[in-house]
Amino acid sequence: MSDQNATERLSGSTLGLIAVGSLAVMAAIVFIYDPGLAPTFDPVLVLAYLMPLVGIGAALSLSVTYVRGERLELDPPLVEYRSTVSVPGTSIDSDLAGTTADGPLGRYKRIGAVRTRLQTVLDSVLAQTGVAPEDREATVESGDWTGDRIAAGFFQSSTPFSRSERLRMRLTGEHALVTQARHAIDAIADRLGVTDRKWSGPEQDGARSTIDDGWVGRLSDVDPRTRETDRLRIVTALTLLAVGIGVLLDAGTLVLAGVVGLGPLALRYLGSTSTPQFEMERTLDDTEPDPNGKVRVTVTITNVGDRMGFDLRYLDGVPPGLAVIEGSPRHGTALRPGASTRFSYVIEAGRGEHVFEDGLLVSRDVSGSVERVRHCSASGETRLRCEPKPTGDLSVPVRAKTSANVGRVVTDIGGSGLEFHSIREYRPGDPVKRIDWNRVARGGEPATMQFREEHAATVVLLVDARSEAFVAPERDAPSAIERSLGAIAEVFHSRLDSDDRVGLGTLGVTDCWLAPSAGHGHWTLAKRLLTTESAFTEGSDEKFYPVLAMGRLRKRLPKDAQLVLFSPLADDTAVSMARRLHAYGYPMTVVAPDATATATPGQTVAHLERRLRLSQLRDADVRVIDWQSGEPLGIAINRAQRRWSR
Amino acid sequence: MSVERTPSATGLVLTGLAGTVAALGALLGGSAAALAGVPVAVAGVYRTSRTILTGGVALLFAGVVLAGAGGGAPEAVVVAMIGTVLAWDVGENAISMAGQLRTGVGKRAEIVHAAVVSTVTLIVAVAGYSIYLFASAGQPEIALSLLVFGVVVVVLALGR
Repeated sequence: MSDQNATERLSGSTLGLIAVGSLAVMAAIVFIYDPGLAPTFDPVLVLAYLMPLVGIGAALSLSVTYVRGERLELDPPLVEYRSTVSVPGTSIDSDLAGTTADGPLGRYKRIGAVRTRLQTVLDSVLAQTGVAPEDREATVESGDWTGDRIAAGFFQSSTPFSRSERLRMRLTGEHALVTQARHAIDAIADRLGVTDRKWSGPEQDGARSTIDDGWVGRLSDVDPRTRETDRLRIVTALTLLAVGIGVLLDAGTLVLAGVVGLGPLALRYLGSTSTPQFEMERTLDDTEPDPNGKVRVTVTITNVGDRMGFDLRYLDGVPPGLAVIEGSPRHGTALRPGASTRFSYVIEAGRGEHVFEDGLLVSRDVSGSVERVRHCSASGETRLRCEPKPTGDLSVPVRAKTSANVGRVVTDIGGSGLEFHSIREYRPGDPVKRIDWNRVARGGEPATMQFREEHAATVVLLVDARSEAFVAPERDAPSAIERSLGAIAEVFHSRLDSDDRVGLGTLGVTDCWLAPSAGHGHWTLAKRLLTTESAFTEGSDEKFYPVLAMGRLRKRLPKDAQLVLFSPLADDTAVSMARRLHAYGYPMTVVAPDATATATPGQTVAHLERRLRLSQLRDADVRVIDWQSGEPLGIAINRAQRRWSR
Repeated sequence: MSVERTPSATGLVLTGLAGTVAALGALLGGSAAALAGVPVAVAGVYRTSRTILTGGVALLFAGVVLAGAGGGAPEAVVVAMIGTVLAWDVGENAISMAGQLRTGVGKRAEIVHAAVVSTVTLIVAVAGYSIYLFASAGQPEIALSLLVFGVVVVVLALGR
């Protein structure tokens, strides 16, 4: 039987029970009015004692199952937050907390996966801190790499805990392997010198926020359904208990009191079961805001049906890529037919084209025991368009690889230019202006001065738009891809201003390519691409094949191109792609917005992994700009340039 | 912006009122136990914990049982029971709103819900009380048996 039927109609057995019960009550009332009609013997005297006991038992079991059981009402997603981004390392935290695993064996396996991941990290950390490759395995097995015996034990075959410690853990419900994992993460971080962590040490679980109390997702992830909330079970229990105890104690007033509970129960069946009809309308005070601008969204709900809407709870479909900064996109109210209500909230605009999702309407019947969940589209404005607005004074330094065209990149080629390069012997045909006349006057051979030629570079900006790039250090911080795209707009604009040829490409499921070119018409094309490409705003769940993407890219890249890759380096694929492109002869600069945090053990692991990936890239002679969160890109570039050799 | 499960002030006040009605009814009926239930029920709503609210309602109900069994006036016991049932209904509704609407507003819906439920409960209570008044003398044993049997069966069928 579907839940729809259960709530629309009373089932056969329920009706039967009600009929039997009602007959008994009616007979009882008749006997009360006219005691003469009642038989003098009492064949159901037994029932008078049996039924109260049944009632009390049923009441206790109902209330216990209600209190212990799962809630049967909808737990809507936190639409206030961007659902497109995640925080790196969260999966490790949930593996350690055991929330993702089913059963102890599943949890053990999950911790095993964490151990494998940590082993890789530890291996790289040991390599960085000067342990020879052949000694690493022995170092890990002996535990010499750290002073923390619990941490060392995580990678050893024997347990580091004594019998009494294990007993204490069993009593406190602490998982031995989880404790070891935390110690191991702490020790590895110390070994790599990552000491300014927010997660203070292995004794702490790590920070929890209010978001952990719910789930972040899209409204379209919610199944529309109708269900019983079972909230009146406690009222049923109270009624049965009052009647049962009253009969057993021979207290008529208690039996009378029990009748009171029939009120809410009757309401559940007397109330209308048909769904009220509502219409939503949404207005925005600005549909084309500037990046980081505030947009006020006003929603009007009208009851267009002919039935009272006693309890409706509406969640507006905030675009998945935007966050609410003021007010709430949720509203609860009661509306009589024809009435309407209005509420508003403020979202922060971000680059891109954002579409509002269908809202979610949770309506309850008058007793609140039947909950209907359905999606409903709002009329009015559903789109928000936000174009990047570069200021044009920020650029990533380019390398000396240039094209033959004249530009502003100072090369090592001698010729005409401004900066002195070298002197060579005079050759017929050299411009008279560049002959070193002082030398001729001293009586030497004529020589020609050479200056460093200034050429144009061909720069292709690549953006990592895989789902791995939709990461942020905190739920409400700007995501790595947003920071990347903001920087790309700036760099694109300023490189065009310095007469370079600039192109734009993606490493992602969706293919998106703008061939290198110059001129201001080119910026218009780039701006449109940066604004409207949905791969940059929402991401994609499809699988990404690095080999295919690389092949596609290599066919298109001009020979003299140099690359700037914007990637948070959230996985090893990003590193291998960058290294391979660099090895193919396209000088590579990686701008890596930092999207990792250190507030929990899992986040710390992701932070360490990113650090190791940065060093891997540096080892491969790739220029790396480590862009910390909350820092202007210009500062990160200055810092990075200090460690580059020309 | 915050997304904490914050119960509305309306929900807290309504729960407190219903709890106070229950406690006063029980007090008039001769039992002070229900007084302890009011803060617990309100705390349950404040912490949005149905378990704590159930505990508070259980304390209120204990007051009803003590008053009823101790021979309190039927009017007082019925009033205490009305308060107890409403405390649960209104409190649970506030918790549910806090869970689904977070910091969003649901004040109007809560007041409408409380008004409808208390009206219907009051009507049922008055109806029950009138039957009780008629029946207070000399009813046959079998009538009570059938009444209890009927009520238990109907309630179980409807309120599972």
